[in-house]
Amino acid sequence: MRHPVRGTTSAVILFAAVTAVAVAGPWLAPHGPNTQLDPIAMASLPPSLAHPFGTDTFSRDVLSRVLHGGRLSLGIAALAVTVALSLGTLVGSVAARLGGIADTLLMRLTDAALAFPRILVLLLLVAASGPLDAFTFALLIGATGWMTTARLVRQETQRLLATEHLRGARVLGVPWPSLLRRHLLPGLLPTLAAAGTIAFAAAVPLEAGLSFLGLGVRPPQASWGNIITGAESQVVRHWWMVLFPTLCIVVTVFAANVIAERISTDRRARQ
Amino acid sequence: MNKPALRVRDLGVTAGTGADRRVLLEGLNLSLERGSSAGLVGSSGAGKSTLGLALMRLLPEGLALDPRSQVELDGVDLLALRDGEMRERRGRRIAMVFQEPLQALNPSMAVGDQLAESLIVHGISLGREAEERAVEMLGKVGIAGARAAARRYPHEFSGGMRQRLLIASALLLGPDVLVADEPTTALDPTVQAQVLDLIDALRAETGTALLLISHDLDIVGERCERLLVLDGGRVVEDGPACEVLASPRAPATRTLSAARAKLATAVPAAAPAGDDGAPLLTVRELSVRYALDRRRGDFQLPGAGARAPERAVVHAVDSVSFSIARGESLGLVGESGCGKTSLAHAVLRLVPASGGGIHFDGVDLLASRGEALRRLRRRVQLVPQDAGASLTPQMTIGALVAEGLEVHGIATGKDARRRAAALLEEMGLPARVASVRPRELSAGERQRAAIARALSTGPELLVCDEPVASVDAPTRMLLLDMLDRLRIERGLSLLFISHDLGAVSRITSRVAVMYLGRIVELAPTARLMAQPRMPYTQALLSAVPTGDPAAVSRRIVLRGELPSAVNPPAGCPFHPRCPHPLKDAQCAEGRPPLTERDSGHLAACWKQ
Repeated sequence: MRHPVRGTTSAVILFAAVTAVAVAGPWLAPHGPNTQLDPIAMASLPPSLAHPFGTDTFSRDVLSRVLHGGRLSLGIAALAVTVALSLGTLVGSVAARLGGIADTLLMRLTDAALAFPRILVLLLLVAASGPLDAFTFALLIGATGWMTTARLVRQETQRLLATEHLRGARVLGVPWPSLLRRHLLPGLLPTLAAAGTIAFAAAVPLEAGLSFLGLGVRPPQASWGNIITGAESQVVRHWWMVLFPTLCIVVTVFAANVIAERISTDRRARQ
Repeated sequence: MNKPALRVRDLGVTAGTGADRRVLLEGLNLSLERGSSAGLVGSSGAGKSTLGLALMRLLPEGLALDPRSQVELDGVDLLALRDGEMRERRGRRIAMVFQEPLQALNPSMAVGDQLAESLIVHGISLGREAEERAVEMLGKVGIAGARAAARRYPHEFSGGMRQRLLIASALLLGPDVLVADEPTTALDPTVQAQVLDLIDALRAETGTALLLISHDLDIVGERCERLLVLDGGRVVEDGPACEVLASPRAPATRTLSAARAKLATAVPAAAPAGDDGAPLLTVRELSVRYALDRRRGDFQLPGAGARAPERAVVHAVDSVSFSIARGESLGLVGESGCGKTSLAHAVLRLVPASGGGIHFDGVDLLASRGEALRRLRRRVQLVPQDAGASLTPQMTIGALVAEGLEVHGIATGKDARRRAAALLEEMGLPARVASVRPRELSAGERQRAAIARALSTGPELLVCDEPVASVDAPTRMLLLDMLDRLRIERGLSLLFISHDLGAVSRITSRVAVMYLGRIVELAPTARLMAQPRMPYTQALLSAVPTGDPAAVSRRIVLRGELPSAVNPPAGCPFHPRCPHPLKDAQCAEGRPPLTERDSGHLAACWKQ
């Protein structure tokens, strides 16, 4: 019996809304992300009609920073997911196809990679490399997140390779490239969708966390993580500087996780 | 007259609500006396399984009972009971055997514990005593070494043995009524006869009434006193089994009966179209071996526990030779696990051969690689057992059929689509089928689509691997007729693999009988059916249900199961199960060669 995942529709709408707002952020933002309105009179203002999310200690409009930062945060997460999915699919499908020793080696490599705490690896990498641009930062997040995908893809590819319909296509004389594209990949898509949403839900807080620590997106460029930086020590007095970016992260990750669960449930139900 | 053990009145089941409401069962009446048996037959989709589930109060979500429905068990209306009260009766008073035993058994629990559990849950016996009774029951259902078997898990048993386990658990508590839903459909005829005999024997002991659900009139005719025919959710015919079989009145019964009559009378297929030249396919001393390794997760290795071997070699196909002429149809029969499918897969180059040779139209099939192999694939195509699994679920039927044309450069784009549509039409499928996906079709339609796909490359040989095993009897007839028509019209050769001797007798001109990887008899179909030489073939033939209860007692029942191909018996591989009266030491020592007895009739037996 399949248990429906409640609230999937709301999660999809929420996720789509967050993504749309993030993409359109720069056009929606009433001010520039780094525009200092008035360093003396306009600094650290609580939310008001003119500044719904308030202003920060440098008198910048928090709403505008959240909107600009959202585009960067989600963009980094999306690129990281693409990298993680590509690497994971490559490792997983090659392991499944080759089998034997190659399979064992690739999977033990995956296990080894999983044994290192991801945040620690990222901290070391960033510390070793010095300041990073957003693009390289995204690649690094992706390069440390392919393992789960590799496992899922390997398992699913093994299952698909043994199915009757793949055998049927071989008997028909379908050449390998078409076999992969037409008969294997469509069966793999639900798995990739599940792996992708899970990876996304993991990448967003990673980016935010590292940027918050000052190791990811560098100020003054805004991201959801580094908007909070500096405000955390005065979270009671300047609550709006912490609350709104945090809320954005929570909502995005929550929606992504609900969607991921639904995709996984559907995937299992179909097998 | 006995009081009825089960009385069903006005049973109705509907699915969906509002405009989507469909009636699955309507106004069904049935009464079953203690110790009696009734058969329920109908085509797929007639509502047979829904009835079984409704009686057990196990209807899936979305199906609703008609409020007027009554199911009285020993005077108590089951439908009015609270869930807890029903649970007490389920298993204890009314039990069910399903078609697919693996889904009905708990995979993570030893079978002895599963049986003991039901005794404990129903408070019949406890602890040691429950275990003892479970072991005793396993012995009763003919499981060898019951005490050791009780500690094994469902996946370690073969299909026939699993069905015995399910019967053991259903009859353990001595229920008043047993509902058996297609209990033998997935089994070979020989195992089917064993399992049905077992149910009869146990029922005679416990006085359990039987409701046997089946799509096969012959099985029900042999085993049941009464016969009900279900069509579109209604009982369209109800009477003593022999009368209904002798003079079917309702159209649905006639359809089922017609499919049956044609299956039982062996119509010899037309002589091969052209056996003048060289044969199209020649298989010489072909062997296929698999290496099994428990560490790799090959659990079909025999034995369990510490003494079980870690590795072994299965001789799936052992030095098999035969040939097929152009336009000829050769049948390949035998029990599950005899190597039929491995042989087919070797011919299709899906598994490597370990020895021997396969020549197709003079070309060495086993030596072909790459592009040469792809060109050969075009000429040898497969009609699979289960088209539902062998058609890629994400692709449309049109694209699947067109693919064969495209990958071999026969046609492309629009032209390929048009020719695919023509092929589907030739298979009697409506035009809309081209744009739907496999799961939207019925099993019969899918099978036709799979045949269209196989034909798309313009093959000369069709390897049909149990092509009609997944469809009901009337559809089976249509598909067989269609394959035979295609053979004649297109001059196709067929390698027709089946455990259904009726189907084989209808469509082939020669038959090879396989046992443990070897061909033990090969003869023209009509001659093999009339005068089988091998005791094994005789047993296979006698296991085919005929609808006549008298045939049950005349049946040659093979004891035991097909031995493992890992350790085939020395001498004649069949000798441990052979019922032949003259069986002697020679059978146990020397392997009989396949030699010609009459013209074209080969058999491997020392005593015939």
